[in-house]
Amino acid sequence: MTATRDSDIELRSFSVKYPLFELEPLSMELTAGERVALVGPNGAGKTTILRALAGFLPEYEGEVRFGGVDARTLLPGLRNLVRVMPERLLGFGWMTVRQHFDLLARFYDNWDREYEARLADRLEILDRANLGTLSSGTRAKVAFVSAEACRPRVLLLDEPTAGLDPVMRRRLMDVVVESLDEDRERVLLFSTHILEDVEWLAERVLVLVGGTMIADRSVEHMRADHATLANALYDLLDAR
Amino acid sequence: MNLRHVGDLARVEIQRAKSLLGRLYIAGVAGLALFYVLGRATDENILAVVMGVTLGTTIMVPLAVMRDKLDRTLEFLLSLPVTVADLVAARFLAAAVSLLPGVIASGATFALVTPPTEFGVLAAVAPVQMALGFWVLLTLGAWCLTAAAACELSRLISWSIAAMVVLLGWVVPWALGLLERYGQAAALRSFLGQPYAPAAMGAVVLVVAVALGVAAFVVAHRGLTRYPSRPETPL
Repeated sequence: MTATRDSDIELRSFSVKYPLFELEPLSMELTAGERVALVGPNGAGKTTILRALAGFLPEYEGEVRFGGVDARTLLPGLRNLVRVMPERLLGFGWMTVRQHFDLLARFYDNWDREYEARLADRLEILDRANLGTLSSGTRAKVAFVSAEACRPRVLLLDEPTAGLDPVMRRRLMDVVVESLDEDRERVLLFSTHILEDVEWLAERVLVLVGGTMIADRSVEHMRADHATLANALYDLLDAR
Repeated sequence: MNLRHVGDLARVEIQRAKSLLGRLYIAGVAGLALFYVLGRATDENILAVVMGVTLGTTIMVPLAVMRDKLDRTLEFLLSLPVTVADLVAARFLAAAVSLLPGVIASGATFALVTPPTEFGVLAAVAPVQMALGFWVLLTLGAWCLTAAAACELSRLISWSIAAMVVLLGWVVPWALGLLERYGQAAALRSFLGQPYAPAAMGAVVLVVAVALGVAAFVVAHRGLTRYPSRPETPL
């Protein structure tokens, strides 16, 4: 029997009810080192799952556990363990990118200045620009560095490459892969509509439709059953 | 509560209120200059401008709290590894600190000019005590407004501003006038002259301030705690 690590994640009968949306009870496990894609149409519940794992969703049914411990009891320290790159950058528009990183460095125990500089350099981020004036692509890159610079045990990415040009998308993917390869214990969970990102990053795919998880498969199996991963996903989504 | 985080968050609050505070001070200086140019720079007018500008600074932090929800900066603050209590404490600290320059200026002006007759018995109060009392009053006002803003009680905000204006502009002078009319002013002056008066008044102010401060903290905490559970809140 293997020991439980703090990046092992477990959702037990996890469900959320909103007036116009319901996420059906969901149970799943993510073990340290896994790279998992959340795929599904808009409104499927992908962001809700990411919010719950990041500790932004205090009201839900069931349990979310990290290393066997209830996530609600780990807050606010959980935010040092789990970092999320939101679909849109969060921060003060009047701050420069440098001030934004400096602010984050004051709050995160494990923020690595040298790593932050390396990531910013690699992604060609100018730190003198104000957050409010950045293009959508640069915002995404700053959001990624904001999430990754403290090397969280669990990295959550919400539509990480939306708004990036093909070259920068490829570069961001490369950076994500390299970062995770440096430490094989870290968990990556990302939502996306871009199947190329799934091909590039994921080892396992969770497919959500209308608040229900309809598939939890390894990329390898999906490729074996169909000509391409894209075909496998389209077949799954069409079947609904 | 993590005091280091409270300090860091308070610095951010003050930093973002800085430009608005600067504009308010410039408006105050322009107002004073105008009074001098028009030859109406009476002690009363100078004191009114300085205290008026200081009164205006009470809404800086509540305004920032209201803007947080529009600009989505509240999600950012709540995404940091801090507790809601840290965030509320930081805002309360920022509100108290951002009032200091105005309060010091008000105290200094009070020491340099002859207080208007409307001040009645308060004219006998030492400028330092006057400034301290003004700071406590405005800080409590700013905390209550911050709590109202955190709970999205915009109507309460406008009502509390109106109440504060009525209190300072009408009720307080009226009450002081009543004291003068019924000959209580001499007794009050005599009380203020006693060596135990500062301690007695301080104790009363402390009790009221703690009670109001705790209530405002609880309301603000509740408002911010409920915020992330809303389904429409983006990630």
